[in-house]
Amino acid sequence: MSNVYHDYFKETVLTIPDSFIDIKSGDQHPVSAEIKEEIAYHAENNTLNHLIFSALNHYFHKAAVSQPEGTNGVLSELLEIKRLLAGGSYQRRNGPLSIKKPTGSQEMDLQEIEDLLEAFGG
Amino acid sequence: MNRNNFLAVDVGNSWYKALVSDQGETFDYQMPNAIALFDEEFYEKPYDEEDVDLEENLIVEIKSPSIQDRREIFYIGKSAMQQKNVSLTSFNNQKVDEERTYILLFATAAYHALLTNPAEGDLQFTIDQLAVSLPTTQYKEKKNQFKQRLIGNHTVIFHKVPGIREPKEVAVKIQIEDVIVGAEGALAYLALTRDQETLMISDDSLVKDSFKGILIGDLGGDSVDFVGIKKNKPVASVEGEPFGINQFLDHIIQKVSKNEMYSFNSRSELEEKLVAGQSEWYVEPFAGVRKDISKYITPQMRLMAIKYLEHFDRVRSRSIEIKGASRYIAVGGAAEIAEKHIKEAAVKWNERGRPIELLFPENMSQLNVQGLMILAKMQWISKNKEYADDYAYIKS
Repeated sequence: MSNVYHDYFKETVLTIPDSFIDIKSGDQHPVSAEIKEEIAYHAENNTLNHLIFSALNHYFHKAAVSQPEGTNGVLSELLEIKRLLAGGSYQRRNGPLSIKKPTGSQEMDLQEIEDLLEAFGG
Repeated sequence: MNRNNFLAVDVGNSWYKALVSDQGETFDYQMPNAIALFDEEFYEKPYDEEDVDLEENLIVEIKSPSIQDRREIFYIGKSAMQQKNVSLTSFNNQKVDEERTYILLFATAAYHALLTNPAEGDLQFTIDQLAVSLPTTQYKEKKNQFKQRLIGNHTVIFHKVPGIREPKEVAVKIQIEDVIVGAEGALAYLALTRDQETLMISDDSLVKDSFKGILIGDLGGDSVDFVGIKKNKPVASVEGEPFGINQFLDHIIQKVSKNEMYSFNSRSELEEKLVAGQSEWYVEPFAGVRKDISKYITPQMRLMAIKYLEHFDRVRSRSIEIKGASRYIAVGGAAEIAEKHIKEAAVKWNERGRPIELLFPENMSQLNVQGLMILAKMQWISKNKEYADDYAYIKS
């Protein structure tokens, strides 16, 4: 199987890399056999550019694909949770605006404050 | 501490962001970094004062030893943006030497006093502790000079205040007791690791990572500040660079003005569009005519993202202290705007086998001002040790 596919009628050329990077997430993926097979078929069929644009359309306008409202919301929530888990995002806890009495082990002493001031404002 | 007033101001090139802790209650403000000379001759009297928003009608005169020309009257913030003669910041401006810094800073404090005291007549507002930021490039040399020019008494006179009887003026006397200056970028680390209220460590994992090293790249209007954090403390050797989003904004503004016949009145007007997202990326040069401007925005954001990462890469390979840093964190308003483009540009670095795994924390653009508030509270505690026992979180 060659790695370059041509559709001379439509002036489309596509080179298949060993792996590609998902431009939205930055993850590396290998190119699956199924994708290669489809590309080979459409290059033969002179519809390679239609395949590419269908894929792009699906990738960028996924939201437009009609799905029942509910599942869509749940899926995007799940995706968000997955993203948070993967990215280790920092969410500032917006706790109540009261000064909590911290436990003894957590207390700051003046020395610590002095050190921090020296480091960050000194 | 709840009987005192603290003010934290992130003196940005595009926006002034302020947090006020007034007798224990917290307020936040942001004001575009814009001023314009006021001319009585061209002032349009509002038809109905009830429609006038004070924020859009801030006209001030400042009497202060930090300001040479004490007779000029200025539009500031949003009201300045609507003027033809609006002045925005120039490239690589020296914040400590420029009078606009003091005009905007004192006016921000006075604006808070005016909003929270609806009584007519003149006001007095004491700031027990002020905390302000400087870019790392200006921090060391200018810190003390900045303090000296801010401490003391300053008067802000608001002209044409809606709802106030003729002569429509209110004078606010501001008294600044003490000032602490922090460096942009390092402040963000304080905000990421400590709690606003208790000042305690709120993120242990980040503090642990700092023992290996953390590199923070704070991308602002005119400067990108890299701060290395090692063992929970900033390492001074990573210097800021004069590079920021403003040059890209100016480029977009020029292109749009030339090709679409639409003039933005300020960078902040464009920034607001950028923050709002792609659905807002159009202008209306004539009523009812919408012109898409994403074709001017996207290439510029891409370019900025690439350069930002190049800076990151150069700093991490050049700095000995930060070699082997375990985390890279993006902060600053510009990084927030271009987050998507930065992530896309990072793919290129992956391809080259030099991955830059960047973290984008929540509310990136607010971190510096939050860090300043933490710094202000700590400074106050350290100066008022005799009261320190009153606070639950201090060991006596």
